[in-house]
Amino acid sequence: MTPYLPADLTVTVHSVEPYSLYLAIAGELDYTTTAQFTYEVNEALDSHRAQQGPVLKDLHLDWSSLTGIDSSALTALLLLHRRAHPEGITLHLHRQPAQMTRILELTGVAGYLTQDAPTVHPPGDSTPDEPTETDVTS
Amino acid sequence: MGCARCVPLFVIRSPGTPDRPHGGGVHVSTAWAEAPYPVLVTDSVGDVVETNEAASHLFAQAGEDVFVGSLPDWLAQAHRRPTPAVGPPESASGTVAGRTFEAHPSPGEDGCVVWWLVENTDLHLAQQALQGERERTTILADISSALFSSLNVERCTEVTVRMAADHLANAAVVVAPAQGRRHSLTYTQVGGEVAHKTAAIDPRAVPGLTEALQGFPPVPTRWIDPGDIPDWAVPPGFTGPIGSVIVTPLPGYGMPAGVLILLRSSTHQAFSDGEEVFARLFAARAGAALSAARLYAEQASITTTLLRELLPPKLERLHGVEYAGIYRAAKDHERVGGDFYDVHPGTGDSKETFVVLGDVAGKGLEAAVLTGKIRSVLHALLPLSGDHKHVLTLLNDALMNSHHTRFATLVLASVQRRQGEVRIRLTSAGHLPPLIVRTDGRVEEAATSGTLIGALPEIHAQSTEVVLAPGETCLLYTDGITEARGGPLGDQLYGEERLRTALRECVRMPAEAVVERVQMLASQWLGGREHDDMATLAITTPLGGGGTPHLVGEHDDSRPHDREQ
Repeated sequence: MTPYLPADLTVTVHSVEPYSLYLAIAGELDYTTTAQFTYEVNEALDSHRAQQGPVLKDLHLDWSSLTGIDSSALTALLLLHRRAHPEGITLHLHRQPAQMTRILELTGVAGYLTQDAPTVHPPGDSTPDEPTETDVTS
Repeated sequence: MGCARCVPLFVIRSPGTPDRPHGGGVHVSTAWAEAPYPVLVTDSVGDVVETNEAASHLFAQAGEDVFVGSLPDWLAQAHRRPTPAVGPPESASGTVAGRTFEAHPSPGEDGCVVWWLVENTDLHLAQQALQGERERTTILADISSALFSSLNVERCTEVTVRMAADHLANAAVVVAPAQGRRHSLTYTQVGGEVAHKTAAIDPRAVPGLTEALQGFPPVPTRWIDPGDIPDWAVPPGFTGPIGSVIVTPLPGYGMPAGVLILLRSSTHQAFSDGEEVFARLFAARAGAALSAARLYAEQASITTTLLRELLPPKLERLHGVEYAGIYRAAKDHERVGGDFYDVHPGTGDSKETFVVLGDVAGKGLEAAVLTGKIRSVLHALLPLSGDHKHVLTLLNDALMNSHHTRFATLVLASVQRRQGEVRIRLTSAGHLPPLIVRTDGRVEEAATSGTLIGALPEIHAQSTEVVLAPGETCLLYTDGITEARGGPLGDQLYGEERLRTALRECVRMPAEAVVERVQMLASQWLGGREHDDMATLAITTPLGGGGTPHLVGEHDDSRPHDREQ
């Protein structure tokens, strides 16, 4: 009886560290909101890059407030992976709902999405904080 | 201020204005004798008794002998009208010597009336011209709305000749651009039917037609000899000799849309320069409409051709196995989308039939184009279909090399009937695993999994083999079914559990009935809401023999066991 209205999606920046960015996603990630998801996460990555330089290594996505998801979310996550990996950013998914786990496992991309990003050495970037980790991943 | 003071100098008091209504009569005769306006004095019975010089001159021009005896008819009638009790007497208007005048009366003594004739020929002509222009504008507006309401070339051509014949000429012909050597001709005449003809004509036979067909400006109508018009350019049934002809191009978008030939019979007035200009305005509108209709027809035909390649195939029984598929695109008015299926029959009973059902990320035509590509690649890889993993790897490589971001999930099935049962090798590439409906009502999920295609550089795939006894079905479906959002509150997904429940009731149903039922239930769940593409494909081992389904079912339960022993 109640007409289904496309629900809102919100992407909130939880905390910003030089090497890690924490985002929380709330609402519905479906065909109507994937474009917004891509846009807002890219915005967050761009502003992090503008403020901290190209040093980000880990992007953490918290899905605990996600209320709905459909298969088009996969397109958005693969797009994000396509952008993040060349920049040396590894994706981490936290507290994702069962439906999301199901989609990722069904399509066989769960491991691929969260695999470690290749180490990128931005020109003029000296990062003495985590020298050991970069050695290990390369 | 200066101007205001000047004004009175240029204002000439109209002698016809009865500002001194009682000023008429013999006393002022010397005043109007030299007036630049024709003045007539009539007595009480309506005979002209006196005229001034201008009036004599005017009536002399007219070659009429009116002034000695009676007045012109229109003035005589005005004279006989009773003078109104109050207010100025009514003026009258009419023509003398091809010029129009307004006659203003001034009552004189003894029933005499002094008539001042003020010429308004130019005003009259201007009013006529204005009215003509208004009519033409109305006609042009009518033409535009009539022509642009249709994108059908034939209908547009008919409207063009019909309106041209009704408003511009006695008969009209539209000559369409040549198709090879033949031209399509559309004729009509006032009050007649529209006739079509396709004929190999020689455009050089009509002066200016060859040039007009190339879009060059029209030849002035006075250069065209009506006697030169060949028979094919005259509507059938047009009687009488042709008096004048206009040949004008119908300009289109970058190319001529044809030529309009207008014909008038010799009994009718010849086309004037103004009418020629109007015919060109008319042709410009008709040409634009015809050209739009032609472009649309071309586009529509291209789209139809492309869509034909993208539509899902019709499925039927092959080598003793039933196949049935239903596809419902996301937008109901579109017939193609991101889901697809194909059944490639084996070359004989002993060869496997290769079945594929898949889903490309996205909706609409863009997704459909990629489904076309995947279907073509898979068709080409048919000889390798014995190894599903190999086929998927090659397909993945083909899609990874292209530069779009789209990916696809699919299920491959190699089907073979062996002694009453059907063996199916199934491989899911990131797709929902097929569901098997057993004769005892169980619904099993095929144990296959794999990576989606077109996104990851490396893929893995785990195949499985299932055996279908008679009456059992393997259902391949896309997530449009399970992700159908609806239900009592409108926000629930149909889900795999509801689908399994629905399938439990499909035991021993023919393939056709299974897909119909699943699509119907999903559509009911949606209740008219928006949805993704929904595709279902059923592979069913037919129940053998005749008899009622119940009896046959009882036999079937035992049959597979017999064969397995």
